[in-house]
Amino acid sequence: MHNNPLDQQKHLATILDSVADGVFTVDEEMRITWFNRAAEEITGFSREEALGQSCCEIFRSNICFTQCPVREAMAGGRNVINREVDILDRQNREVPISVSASVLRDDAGRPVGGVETFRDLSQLQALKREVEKKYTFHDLVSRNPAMRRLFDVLPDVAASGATVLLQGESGTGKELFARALHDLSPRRKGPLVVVNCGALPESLLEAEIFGAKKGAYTGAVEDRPGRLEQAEKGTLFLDEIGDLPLALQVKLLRVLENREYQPLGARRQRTADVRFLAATHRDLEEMVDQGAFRRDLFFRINVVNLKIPSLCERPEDIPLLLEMAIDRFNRSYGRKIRRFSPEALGLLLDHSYPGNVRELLNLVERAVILSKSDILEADLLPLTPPPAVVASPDAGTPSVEQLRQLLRRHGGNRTLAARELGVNRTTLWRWLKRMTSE
Amino acid sequence: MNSNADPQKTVLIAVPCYGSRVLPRFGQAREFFFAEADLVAGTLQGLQRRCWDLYDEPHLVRWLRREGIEAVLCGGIHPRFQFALYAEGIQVVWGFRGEVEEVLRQWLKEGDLANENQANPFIDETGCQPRRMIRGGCPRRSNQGETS
Repeated sequence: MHNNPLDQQKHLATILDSVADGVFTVDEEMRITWFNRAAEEITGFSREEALGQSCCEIFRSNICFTQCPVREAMAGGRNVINREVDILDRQNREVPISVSASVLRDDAGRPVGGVETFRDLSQLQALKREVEKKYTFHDLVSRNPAMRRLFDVLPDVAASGATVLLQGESGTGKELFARALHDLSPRRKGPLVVVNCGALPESLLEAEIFGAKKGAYTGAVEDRPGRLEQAEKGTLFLDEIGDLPLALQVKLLRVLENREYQPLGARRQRTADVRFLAATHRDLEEMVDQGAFRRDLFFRINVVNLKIPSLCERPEDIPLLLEMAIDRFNRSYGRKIRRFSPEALGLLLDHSYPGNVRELLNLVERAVILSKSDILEADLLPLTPPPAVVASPDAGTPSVEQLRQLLRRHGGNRTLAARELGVNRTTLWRWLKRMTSE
Repeated sequence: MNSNADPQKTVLIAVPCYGSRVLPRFGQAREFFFAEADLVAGTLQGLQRRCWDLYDEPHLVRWLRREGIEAVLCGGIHPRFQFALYAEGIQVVWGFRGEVEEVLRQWLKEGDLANENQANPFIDETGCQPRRMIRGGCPRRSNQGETS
């Protein structure tokens, strides 16, 4: 035991120097009064340099003058826990740290300063970037096995030069796939030209794709190159090809078969050196059966078919996409949002995303813009909690969607899901079996 | 023409500040001391406090350039700002703490903008800092006998 106050102080110093986290204390004027060894290592400043200095001149963080955790703790009397900030170390390198701060009181309970502990997050963040890199492929993010298989074949498909049909619900990222295919192809130095076949009326679409000669129609006062010509030696991406009118389907078929086309009002045929990519959210085979889409064109564009799963088919990607979205919008709007509150995260994980990744991105962008703090709260999301799933002999069995949400909420843990439903695991297993057979 | 021959005599240096002290982090700066310094004599010729008006010029680096600033002397500075300043032809020296005037006088007495530890990310392969900011020209090029 150390009864001598000097010995006690020495013992305390030894303890503080042994901990892996940086620890420092300040007096009421924010001058550093204690600085442990880990603090020296993280900041690069020696104890001798730091003691007696104003803490903002040693830490040089991005929030020193606006949201200082020690000042906040001293003013409010409450602890600040795990706030992520960036500091500049002695060598002017940016170091991400996690900071916690509390008030320091004397024997009588009077505040005499503050204490801050901090942890270097550099390695953690590097690890996070490594994991993100692992699940990222040309702006596409996924850990879903079906998506990973698509990522695996994409380089070979891109190199082949074959026409590709991308099928997937609206908002699944078909254009991102098209861009990746173009960037990986030998035509990457050429342009990638996008035409949305559903965005223009038939009369304009023809001139838009194939171009028009001067005088071809009223108002055509000069030759106008079409998207086909603009995409020369590059890639033409026909988005929403299912919306292409039948008359234009014939004309497009001719280009795909012979590489020949005729701009509106032109007398001569032109040759196109273009790679075609097409995408649709519609079921083209069904449209072929109904006579709304030409069978020969369907076979011509369906050389390689890539089906992109909707977001509700790959719920494991939602957390990854939410992280990516926060990073993206932090950069776009110069914000420092760190995470979602547990309630907000619950809402986002339970949502079914009929608008797919586009909807998820819009939700996060809105929340980032409206947020006043570094945590995104549930009230920033225009979502309502799903109705609680109740199962009883009277209520009947829950719906497929309810079961899916429930399992998602419990991270796939069937025991917890069954417990919430008030049924045993066997009953839940039977319902799930029925769900998969449906 | 020998571009190393006559280094500029006086330069305008910006020092981000809070009160009368050097601001620890350049990115937080709204107020500056603009110092006119004679690099050859190593003396401070004038010092005036200036405020950056975001509404007039929202881009800090461009504002400094517009004000004729040729060097920034500061505490810490994020590499992003360092790149932006170098891209505008403004030299950066960092790592200072203390009263602005004292820091400036001390630096003029002892210092040099060609500090080996604060490498310019746009430094050329000969290892030269931009010559006009270095008193007496670039020593490495002189050693190599360059006469261009």
